[in-house]
Amino acid sequence: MMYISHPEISAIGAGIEQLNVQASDSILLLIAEQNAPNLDELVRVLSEKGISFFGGLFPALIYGDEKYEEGIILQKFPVFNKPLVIQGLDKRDFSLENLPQIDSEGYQLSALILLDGMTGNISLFFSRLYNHFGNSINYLGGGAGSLSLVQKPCLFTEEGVFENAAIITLIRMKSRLGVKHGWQTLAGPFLATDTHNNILRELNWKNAFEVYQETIEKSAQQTITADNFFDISKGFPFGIHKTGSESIVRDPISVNDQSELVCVGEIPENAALMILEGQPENLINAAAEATQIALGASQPSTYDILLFDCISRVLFLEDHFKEELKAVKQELKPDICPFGALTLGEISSYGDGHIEFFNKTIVVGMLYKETEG
Amino acid sequence: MKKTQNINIDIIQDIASLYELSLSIGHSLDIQQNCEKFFSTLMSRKNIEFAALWLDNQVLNKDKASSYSLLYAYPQFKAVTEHLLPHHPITQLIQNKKFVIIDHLSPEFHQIITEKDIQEGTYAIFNLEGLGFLKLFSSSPDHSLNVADLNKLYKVICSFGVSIQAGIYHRKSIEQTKERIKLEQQYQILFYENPNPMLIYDLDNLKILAVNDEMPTKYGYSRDELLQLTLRDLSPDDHTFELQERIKSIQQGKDTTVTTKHRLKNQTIIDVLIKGRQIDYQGIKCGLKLIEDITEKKKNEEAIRLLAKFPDENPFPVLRVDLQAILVYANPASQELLNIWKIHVGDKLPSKIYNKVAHSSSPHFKEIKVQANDKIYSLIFNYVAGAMYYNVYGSDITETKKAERALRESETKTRSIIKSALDAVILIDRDSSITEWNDQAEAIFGWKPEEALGQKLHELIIPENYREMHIQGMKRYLETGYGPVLNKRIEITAMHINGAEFPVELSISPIIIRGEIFFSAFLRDITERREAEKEIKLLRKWINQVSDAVQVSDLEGNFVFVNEEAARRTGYSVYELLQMNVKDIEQIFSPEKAWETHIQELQKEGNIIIEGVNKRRDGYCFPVEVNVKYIRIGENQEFIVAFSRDITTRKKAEEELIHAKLKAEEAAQVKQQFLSTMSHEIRTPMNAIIGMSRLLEKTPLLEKQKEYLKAIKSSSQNLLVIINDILDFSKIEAGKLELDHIGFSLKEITENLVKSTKYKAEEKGIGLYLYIDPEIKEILIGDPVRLNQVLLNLSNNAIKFTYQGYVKIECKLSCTLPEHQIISFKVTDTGKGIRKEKLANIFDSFTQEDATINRKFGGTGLGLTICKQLIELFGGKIEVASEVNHGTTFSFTLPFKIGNEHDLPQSEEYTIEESSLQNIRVLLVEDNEMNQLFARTLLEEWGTLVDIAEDGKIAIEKVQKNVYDIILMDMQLPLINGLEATQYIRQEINTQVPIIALTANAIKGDEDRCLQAGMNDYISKPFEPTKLFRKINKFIHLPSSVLPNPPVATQNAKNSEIMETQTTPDKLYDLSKFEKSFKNRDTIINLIQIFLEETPGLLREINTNYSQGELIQVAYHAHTLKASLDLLQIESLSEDIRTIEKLAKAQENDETLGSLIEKLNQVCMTLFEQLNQEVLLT
Repeated sequence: MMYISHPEISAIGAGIEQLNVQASDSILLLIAEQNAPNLDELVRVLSEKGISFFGGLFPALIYGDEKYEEGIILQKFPVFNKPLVIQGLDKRDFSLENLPQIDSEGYQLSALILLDGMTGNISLFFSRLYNHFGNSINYLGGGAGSLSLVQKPCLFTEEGVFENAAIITLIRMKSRLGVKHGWQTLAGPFLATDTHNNILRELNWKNAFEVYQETIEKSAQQTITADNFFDISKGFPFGIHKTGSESIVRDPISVNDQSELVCVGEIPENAALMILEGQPENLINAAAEATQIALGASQPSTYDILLFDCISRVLFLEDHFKEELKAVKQELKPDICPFGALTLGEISSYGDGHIEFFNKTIVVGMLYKETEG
Repeated sequence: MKKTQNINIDIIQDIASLYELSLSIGHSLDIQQNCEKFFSTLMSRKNIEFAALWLDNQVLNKDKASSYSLLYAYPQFKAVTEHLLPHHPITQLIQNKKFVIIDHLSPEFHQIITEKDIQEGTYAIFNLEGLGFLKLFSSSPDHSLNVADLNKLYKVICSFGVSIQAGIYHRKSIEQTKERIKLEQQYQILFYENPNPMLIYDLDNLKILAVNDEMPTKYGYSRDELLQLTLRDLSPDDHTFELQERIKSIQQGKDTTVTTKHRLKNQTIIDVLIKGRQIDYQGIKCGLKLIEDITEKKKNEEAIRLLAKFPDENPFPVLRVDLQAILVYANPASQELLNIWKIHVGDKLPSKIYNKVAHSSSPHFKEIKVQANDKIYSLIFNYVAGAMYYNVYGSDITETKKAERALRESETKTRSIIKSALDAVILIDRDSSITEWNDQAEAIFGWKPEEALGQKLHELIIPENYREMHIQGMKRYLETGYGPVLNKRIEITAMHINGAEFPVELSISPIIIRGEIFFSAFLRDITERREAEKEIKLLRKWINQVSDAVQVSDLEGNFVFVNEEAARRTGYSVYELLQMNVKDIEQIFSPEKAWETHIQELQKEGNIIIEGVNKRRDGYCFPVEVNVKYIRIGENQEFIVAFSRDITTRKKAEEELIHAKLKAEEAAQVKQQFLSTMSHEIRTPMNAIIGMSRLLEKTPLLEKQKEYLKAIKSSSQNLLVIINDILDFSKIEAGKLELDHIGFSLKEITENLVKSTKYKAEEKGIGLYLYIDPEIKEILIGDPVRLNQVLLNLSNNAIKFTYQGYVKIECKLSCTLPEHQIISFKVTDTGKGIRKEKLANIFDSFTQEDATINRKFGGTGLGLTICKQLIELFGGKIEVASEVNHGTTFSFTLPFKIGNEHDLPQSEEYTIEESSLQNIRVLLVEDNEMNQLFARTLLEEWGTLVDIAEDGKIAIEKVQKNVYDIILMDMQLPLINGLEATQYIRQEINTQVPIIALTANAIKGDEDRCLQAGMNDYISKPFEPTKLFRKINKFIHLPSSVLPNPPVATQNAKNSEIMETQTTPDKLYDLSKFEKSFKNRDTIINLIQIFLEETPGLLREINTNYSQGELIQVAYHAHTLKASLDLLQIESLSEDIRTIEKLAKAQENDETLGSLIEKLNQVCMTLFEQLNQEVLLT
């Protein structure tokens, strides 16, 4: 693994040379959006090397206990398949026909998923993906994209640069996952009586923004308008109820012209939503807890820690965010350097169940070789 | 307050969740989509990993047995089973229940898994009454599948079931609609493209509404014209009523089929077959007509009807039978047959008739003959293809049959006579033309009947030379009636088709047939007979020429044939012999009944070889070997055929061989004796050498001398091994080695073996491992000494040839029988290995892999041979596997009887002091001076009083004069040997004094001889001092004593073995070495006391000698002291005493020596104090 702070394409190429890539490996490239290299050019140059690679553009990166808004992280993984691109997620008729059959090998593998955080039909995609692999495999990953929340091509493999897509890579490593966010209920539940993908139109049969606005003002004594929406809403996300777990967080990011709330990730129609509030220390504790869960009771002698942490936690925690990364690092053996990305939505199967798309959550993945488990 | 609020929120959230779930139902009428939406929502809200909907097959088909099929699974990946058998455990579990929860701990859990990778978790199964069931699975330990939650979910799931039911009905109705559309399309095709005319008409007004393409073609109207007509327009006027009747039927819903007439456009009337039925056409009740023009068919039918009358007129029977054997037609001429069969038309044909046809190999055409009263009919059954019946044509063949039979009977008789004749039978007419030629004629002459018949006999079979004679003979007979060769057997020469001439026997008889003269000739080929006669002549000649005498006799022994050799050998003529009997010549048959016994044996065996003695006419007898055969020809001709050979020369040779063999055996005996004697001769001086060197060792010696002595000891030990090897070998060779059968512990002997060889392995830096199978019984019965010998030999070899790696001895249990254990032994090394070509004879005597090995490693080369022979003696077989540079494995498997405690030899306990032999009077009878010295020294050291006799005579005298407690008797003595002396002592002097044989005679059997002579025990030279001590002790009836070390060592502690250096910190000395060697504390104290007595004197000597400058003496005493100090492990002086000795010896008198002696004095002072303390404490 390596972090390159000035990701010129030539430097990336040189970095890859040092990774000693085998034919059965694929390289993950996590790129911070600031000063990112031209992806088309990057793909062209790397393709000439005849190696397998995949990656995405993210608002920021995590390396050790630091957050980086510039640079690139390279990590090679032994893989079961060539990174597989699923395109056309903005339409319901995308196809998963090319997914490999894993049969009995599932327990030796982990699915690393990078997807366009701004695309639609994510739930449907996960639903179909789960239908194919089931719970025999662990899933983790995150949403790529720009903090500006303007959709653009943000995923790439040796086959090109993509948007409205997802990349699925089956890594030949076992994994344990920890998923936590630390947000707590402020008000609710509200029924999402009218939604369309990630647009929330109505809550309790009333205009969604009005209900939200009213509740924030009443319960949190804060005034929220279309203009200051993002500043305030980052502290009051929605949570979808899930029995026996923390609720699944949905991040409202803006109000559109029809006074509808635009969220990251789909809001299922008729879902019961809570409005959540956060305390920095709860969030930081949650990160430590997620790490503990991922590490489990007995740890292998060596492992990788891959983090997908929501960029909106950075926005909410601001200076405290450093503490979150420190809290993670503290749980680990000193020689383990966690790495990952700050994402637009996080992906996990909670370890062994249905795949979910989260917001404002930290997903900690411990990846290890079977023999060391 | 806050908590209550949270609970409320939880409840509300639950309700909201259920609300969401309810609304996710019925998302689509498509079952798949409906399930997908509902299940994914369910999983997203609950900790559920798998959901599946199973459909009761009765929902789709009420007639099916209740069983389940998988309708939808999410994720599909997990579902592995798609159908459940009826009465699957799930059916029982959910019966009459809303839902069931089955935890992985419940016994039913595994029965209901139909998904892959399920281990721990919980299933919940909802009974969807009338639809099937819903199966949920969660591995989450949070128990999201608990009763409370599932109760909440129940209604939602029921709604889901209803929505699925709706989906199923929806799917069904779509399928039905599709089916109907498909059917209608098919009807249209049937109507328009039907090859027969079809039309649809209004049942009310009979107006034609639709016609198919065939209608215009058939009726001559255009389609439009037809659509203007009614049915009445097609019917001739006289059929109107009939039409109305028909329409009525159809209106009532009946289908009709009638033949009627129709009128075409050109007014032609045609016969038609009409099929009509009612249909619903464009909402109107209509009739559908299918019309077939049968005009031609009707005409044909009439013609056929007329034609069918034709068989009635046939004067012979004509029948028709269908495939069920039913008679469907019979013409009048058949009546007689029907009467006999007692059947009528419509009945079945008699089965015996019909079966002949049906089961015939060609059932399509079959002629059978039927006897009817006095008539015979031929019935030809002709199968009419496609018509499924037989036409049967009969004819009366009574007369024909009779004539045929008569002719056939007469011909058959004659033919069978001629045909079966063994001779060729040829009939010729007066012109010699052949009119009959049987099979044998063909066989003899080669001509086939068709070739021969009509030919002239003489041209065919008589060689040219004789032809004229034949023709003239025939002519004369016909003219004069004189035929000299007629009715006689004559031999003539005949000719084969291939021209070959051969002898035949011929007889010719004239016969008159229907007034014509014929000649019948019977001919027989006699070539073989001629050949046989020739052969017999040859055989006789040959038999007369063979060198064996051939004699054939009857069962009484009377000769019926002898050859010339038989005559020549016995001096009789052949003629004379033929008048004689076997017993006249063969001496072994002289005794009564000998011949009869011989015959009985022959009849049983058929063939025997005996040695006999033949007597010539002149009375001389000579040995013979006779091969006798019993031969039976036909019923009662029995013969004895004897081929007899003079074996005088061979007998002589045999005698010589026997003589030579005896000689050889004698030589072996001599060799045996030589080896045994030689070993004795060597053992005696060896005994002295080893014994004396042992004694010499105890005396003060210079280093150089010690070295020489060591060499002498090791050489003599080696020599002893060699002698023992040779002795063992010769014993085994001579079959004189007997194995012991005593109890022993395999564990003990192998462990001792490892202990005794370990140092060799350690010296070479290789491992030595022992494995004993724990299943092997503690006590086995066998010969432990010999087993040890084998294992020791193999291990020593292995260590000898291994430079790195290890040597491993394994004893594994092969099997346990009720009374035995079979144990396989294996000695494996990682040494140099043995070359393949040498492996084969590695066990041969005096063989090592090559000569260089002998030089390098020593040994007699007998070791492996002895091992092999010993193992074979044990009943085993040794095997070797080896690879050069990788190592060698010797293995063998031996059976041992399982023993117990009682089988172990009684161990001799010694509990009293070695001084027990004090003042015992011993008579040592020994002629060898060296041995005398050795034994005497040994015995005297034990405190015995020793008297010596140089030979047996002196010994007897001494015993007569003196009283002894024990006599040690050598066996080989001058004048009177040990055995004789013993006998004399026992018998004449009549004393029971214990006598122990002390001998180098180590051959088995010696011991017995000693005991027989009256000795009490036996000990072979060279002996171990302890062994002798033990034996003496045993016989003097004193309480037994502590087993002493060899007395030389105990008496003087100066001699020491190599010591381990270990000192207890506060003591200058360490007694651990002693404690290991002596169980008895008193012995140790004795040793300390000896040390305390002697050492001060030594110290004084050293001091005095040093002060007087006599350094050599200093060195001498220091040397003596060194051994004592080492024995007590006095570490602090270990270096110093050596330095003192070294310096003094080198005559280096400097300060060092002085200060060292000073230190020696001081340390010894402390030492004496400590040792005195030790003695006092005891």
